[in-house]
Amino acid sequence: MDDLISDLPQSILESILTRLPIRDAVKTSILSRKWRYKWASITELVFDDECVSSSHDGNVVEQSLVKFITRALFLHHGPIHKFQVSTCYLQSCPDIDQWILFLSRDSDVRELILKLGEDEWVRLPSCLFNCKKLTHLDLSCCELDPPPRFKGFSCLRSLSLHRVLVAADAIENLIWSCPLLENLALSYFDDSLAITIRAPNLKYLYMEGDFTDIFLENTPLLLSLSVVMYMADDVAEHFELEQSSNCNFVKFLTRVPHLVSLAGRAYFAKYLSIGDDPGPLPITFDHLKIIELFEVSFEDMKEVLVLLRLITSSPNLEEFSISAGESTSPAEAPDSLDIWERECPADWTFKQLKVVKMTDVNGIPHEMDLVKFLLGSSPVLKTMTISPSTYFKHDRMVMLIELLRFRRASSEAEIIFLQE
Amino acid sequence: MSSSPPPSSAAASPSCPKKMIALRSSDGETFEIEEAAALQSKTLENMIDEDCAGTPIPLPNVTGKILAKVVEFCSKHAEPGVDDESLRAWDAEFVNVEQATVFDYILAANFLEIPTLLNLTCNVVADMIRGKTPDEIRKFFNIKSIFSPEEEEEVRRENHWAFE
Repeated sequence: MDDLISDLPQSILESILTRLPIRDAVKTSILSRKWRYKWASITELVFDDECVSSSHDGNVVEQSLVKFITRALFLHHGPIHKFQVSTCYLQSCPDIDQWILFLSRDSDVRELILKLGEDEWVRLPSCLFNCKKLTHLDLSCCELDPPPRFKGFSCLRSLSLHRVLVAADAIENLIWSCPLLENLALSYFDDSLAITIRAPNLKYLYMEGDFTDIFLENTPLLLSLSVVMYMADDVAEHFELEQSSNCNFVKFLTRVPHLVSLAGRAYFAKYLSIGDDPGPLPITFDHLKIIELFEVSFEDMKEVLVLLRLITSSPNLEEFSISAGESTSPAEAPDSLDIWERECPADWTFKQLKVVKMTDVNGIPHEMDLVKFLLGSSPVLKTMTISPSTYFKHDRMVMLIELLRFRRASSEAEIIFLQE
Repeated sequence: MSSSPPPSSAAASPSCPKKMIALRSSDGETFEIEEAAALQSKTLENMIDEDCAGTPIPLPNVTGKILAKVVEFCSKHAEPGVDDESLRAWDAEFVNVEQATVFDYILAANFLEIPTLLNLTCNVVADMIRGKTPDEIRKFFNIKSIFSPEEEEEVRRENHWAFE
């Protein structure tokens, strides 16, 4: 049999070598004279702990890894389009600065991914901001300090910052200065953050952490929004007292009319409920197909009202998932219990709603009213799955009996009650 | 409900046959491929746009044996309603062939610019390399190493950091 691999066109060989762990790719240098530098012109360099032999001594691993990356870069020739380092072993070291300087000099790099150790946050050098062709920047556990004269990454499509130490206005300016930004993920900043987002082309937004305020000032094209909002309990109360009558729900959601998917966890529902109830919304979310809300407090009438307004503004909803959180406020007075009848538009139907999942259900009145409303207004419903909470306070049999009586608009609807 | 006619679908009705494109391999065999399948190949897509689709498109770099399989691959990937898992299983069977054939597929996919086939076949070759020692790789692909001992020593020194 002939040697069919060595004479493959270089572009194909590079494609094959890029799919190997970089250590294996470098080892092909020994195969034959032809192969000596085939690895050295691959355009994607991905380094992680697999590059070096493991050791119980973190310092040894760090040193081996630094040596590996530095030697690889030195022997490499040609453009580098993707540079990734993922390791928890690299603490602050001057080598990282040099690698980024190296990359920024030719400034061909399009994708830069640095996921570093959590112990000591590396301050990234300012030459990072000279990488003009960046389309994809993903940073984890480091410190970022954009220089004042920085004009933005004009090609950046995707930005992800996780546990990054950076000032709030610096992030805002960074986002605003990247006109093509479509994909943004922000998680776990050191302090509680209030942030305003201006990104006219943004389509996908993910936020997780301790945010005191999120203002989507200019994100008209947003399709998918996912927020996990943590708040210390005392902050949550403090927030309520301070807030003016401006309704967060209106402020937050009415600027994203093209939303297709919305997911909120932890304190998100509570955050939206702050402020006065706006009444029926003037806009509808015609494209909103998927809503997932977790840890909603069904004993808080304001949160229930937010939920009600949201779903009755989403006529084309297809999938709805909701879970109840632990109660954070005292139980409401009984006269609030008819809000479902009062506030839901008459003859409302969910023409596309097929799947409903409710978890951590406690069987309390607002939850039952939600189930009743959904069952009665969803003519194409296929499945409704209900999982009781482990702290179920009421008699499950009572809840099931009540559920059985609810009118179902869909003759095909299956109600699946999941025991744990 | 309005009474307007239903929107035209991509699938053909019996009275309207699907457009077929004719291809000729390097050894003179002719094959027919549906337009939708042909569009998987950027090369063919360009040629169809230029309206050369009257006479069979000559493909001097691809033999009849391989072209038949490429047509099969493209047709399968243009089929509507195939779920991801079955397609993956079908792909795995498709590349379960001898080494020489995998390389023929790679070269055909490269020439015809079929990203799905190129991706699939490159993954296969990468899997053939992964985890093997240099000696095992040489043996598997029949690579003749013509290093002199000094050259080999030099390469090992240059890349010792990867062999540690």
